[in-house]
Amino acid sequence: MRNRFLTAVLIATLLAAGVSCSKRPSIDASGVRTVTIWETYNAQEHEVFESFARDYERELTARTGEKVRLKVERVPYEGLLPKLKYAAITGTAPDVCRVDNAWVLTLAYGKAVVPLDTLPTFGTTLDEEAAKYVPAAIATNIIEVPDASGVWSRHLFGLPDQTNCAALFWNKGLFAASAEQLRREGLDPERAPATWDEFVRYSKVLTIPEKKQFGFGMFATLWWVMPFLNSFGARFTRTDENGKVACGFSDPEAIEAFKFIVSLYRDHRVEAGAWQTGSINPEQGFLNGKYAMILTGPWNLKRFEGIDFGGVARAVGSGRYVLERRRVEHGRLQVVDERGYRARFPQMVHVARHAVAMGA
Amino acid sequence: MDSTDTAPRRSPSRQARVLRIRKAVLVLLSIWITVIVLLPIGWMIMIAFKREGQALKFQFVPVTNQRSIAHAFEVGDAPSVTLEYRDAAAQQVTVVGELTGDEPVPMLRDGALFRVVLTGVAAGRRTYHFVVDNTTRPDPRATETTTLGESVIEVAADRNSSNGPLDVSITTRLLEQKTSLSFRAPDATNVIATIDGDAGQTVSLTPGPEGTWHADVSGLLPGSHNVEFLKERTFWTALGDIYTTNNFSEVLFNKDFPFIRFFFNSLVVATSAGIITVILCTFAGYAFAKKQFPGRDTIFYVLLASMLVPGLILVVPQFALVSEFGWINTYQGMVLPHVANIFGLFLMRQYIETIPDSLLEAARIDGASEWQVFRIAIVPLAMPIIITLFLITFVSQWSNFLWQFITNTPDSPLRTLPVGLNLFKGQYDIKWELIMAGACFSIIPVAIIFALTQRYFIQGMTSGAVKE
Repeated sequence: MRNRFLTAVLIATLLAAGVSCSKRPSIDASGVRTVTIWETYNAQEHEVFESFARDYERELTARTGEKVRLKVERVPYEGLLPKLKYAAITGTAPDVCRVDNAWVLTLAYGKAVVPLDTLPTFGTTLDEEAAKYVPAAIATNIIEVPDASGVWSRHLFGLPDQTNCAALFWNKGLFAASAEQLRREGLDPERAPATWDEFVRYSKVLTIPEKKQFGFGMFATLWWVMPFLNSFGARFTRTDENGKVACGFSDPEAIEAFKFIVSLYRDHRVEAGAWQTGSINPEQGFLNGKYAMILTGPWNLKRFEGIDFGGVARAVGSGRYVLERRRVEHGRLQVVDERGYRARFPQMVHVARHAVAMGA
Repeated sequence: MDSTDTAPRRSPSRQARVLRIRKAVLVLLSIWITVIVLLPIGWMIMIAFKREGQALKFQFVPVTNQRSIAHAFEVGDAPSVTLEYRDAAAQQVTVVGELTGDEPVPMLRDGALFRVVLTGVAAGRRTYHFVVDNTTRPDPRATETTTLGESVIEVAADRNSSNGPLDVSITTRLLEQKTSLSFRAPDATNVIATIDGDAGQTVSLTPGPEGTWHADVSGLLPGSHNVEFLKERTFWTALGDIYTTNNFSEVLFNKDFPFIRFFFNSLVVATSAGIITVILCTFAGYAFAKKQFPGRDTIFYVLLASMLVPGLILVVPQFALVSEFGWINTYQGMVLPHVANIFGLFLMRQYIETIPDSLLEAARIDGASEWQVFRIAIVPLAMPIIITLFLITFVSQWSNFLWQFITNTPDSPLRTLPVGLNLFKGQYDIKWELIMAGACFSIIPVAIIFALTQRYFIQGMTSGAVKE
């Protein structure tokens, strides 16, 4: 059915690419199959992405003789989700789209994306395919949905194209400027805090009201609260004794995590209130030396060029109050993890190609 | 006694002084309000001139003097090996290899320059590589690199060695009891070196070839010292670090961003939407204000009630209709769903109602047809509100993003300026300087139209506000 939307989403921890069937002809008279891809990269990243596409076309033709044209189209990120929904309604959706992983559930429940594992050419089982990816990254793409007869089953709606994480960035320059005071408090100015207790002690020294400098600045949306929840051992959902899934935010661990976050602003007065409307947001505060520490991700490495922010620590794991210190492994990766992406690209398009074949 | 006789009267000069103070306060208040109102525009223009990566920084005034970090050096030590590596994006660089006894040695960072001074290295051919943020890299300045990616340096026994011309070079000549300082600063007008902090000595460097500044310092005792370089630049050179005009040319001539086409599309959409809206609303407003027909008021209030429905809810059915008509990627798809403007109808009806019926009757007595009444009496008298409605519609359609975004596919040649400008806004990376440069161009038509029609606009907005 031409208006039926067969869309699957290839997703990353944060980003995803989707597959759908559009009204546009996918195979031209000369036998070239066109796969339309929407992506939200910037101009420089778009060029890299285009190069993947051209390499893939050449490689596929050399290997199988099949001719595929990957039509890569840049789309503004803002407004992409409504645009995708409207495009799905009218059959103008792309074959593949890179979206935020948080959107996959909406798109899957709205039947705007096709379950990849139901395609005849999927070639493997859902769990075998999932085992190839970082568990957390693939898990958000495996969604239980009802079929026509009302039976619920797990399906794969996307594939991760890259993974990233929130990390604690600390401004070495500001640490160095308060080195004496930090040493007096028994803290090492040349490293980031390793526990939440240390974090508070560092933050207190680094909060200098007369300079309008704060130890910490944070966004207060759920995503940015996750590092706290994780490190306090809180769970987002739990299954109760009746087998029902319930929100875990009322568990003691989550309450403790939330109390700790609030205490940073209200009791310890080390958080700048960066989450408030009209305040300097964490990234800008960090960039301008107003916030000594922020939670952010590797996508900001380029933006922070010129700031001596040295090592990067990351809040992980279920160990309470423990921050695992490690550097962001992506090195100079900004948004496109070129090597990883290049490796995953053929699989992504392979699935998309078959989705188009099915729709056509 | 009359109380007014006892009240102190202000002298004329005092009254004049009070008036002057009041005027001055009013003028200051007006200036202050103007500044507040214009601040976002001023900010927009400043950001449009900022270099990439500078947009979110609070630095607006150039810094002419730049101080380096303190570089440590030894007087009386054995010859050393200095390595430099320049990389603005790197956060941590270490050097590893034969040169360091296979122990990683961190390089000291000074802005984009990473530098390390190694001592006690035996003379001879030594290999090494850099580890830049956990990624192994050969030295791009090395004259030789092995097949294994190791860079090679010849370490001399009797003099200092380096991996090329150095940005910062400190060489001690023990026999002459002199220390030579060299600092590369092509954009400097003066360079001053401070040795051992404020308590030490200060030396002015003299310019040499290829932007390098030199000075010989004598009297330094054997042992550890440090030197800081203060680079002085002209105001205009420092200004160039922050501001540029390239953003405008990049917006205008970007191959991924056909600005002229986007601009033209926006102009067509906003102008046609404005004109059609005005025509429809004027006709309808006239009918609802001056004509009698069954259910007139009921229809009007039903229409008015539809304004209570949030616009976003209407997007889905409107989009379904546009799609059904095959109007995706067309001007009519972008324009027509917005021309039946209830607010415009309300505005026109209320204004036209204030036109005296006697004028219309007089025109009819003079033999004017219905069309002539409308054209000769209604339109000229309603011109202020017509212009106001046109301006409101033009501005709202000029900046309409969502509708124009969803009714165009990403490859559509009819994409408009708001859609195009959003291409500079990714999920993580926002090119504020380019968005603001584009926005500077995009306010031009609105400013021109407002300047040309402001007399009518103000009349339209204030009509009915003053009772005469």
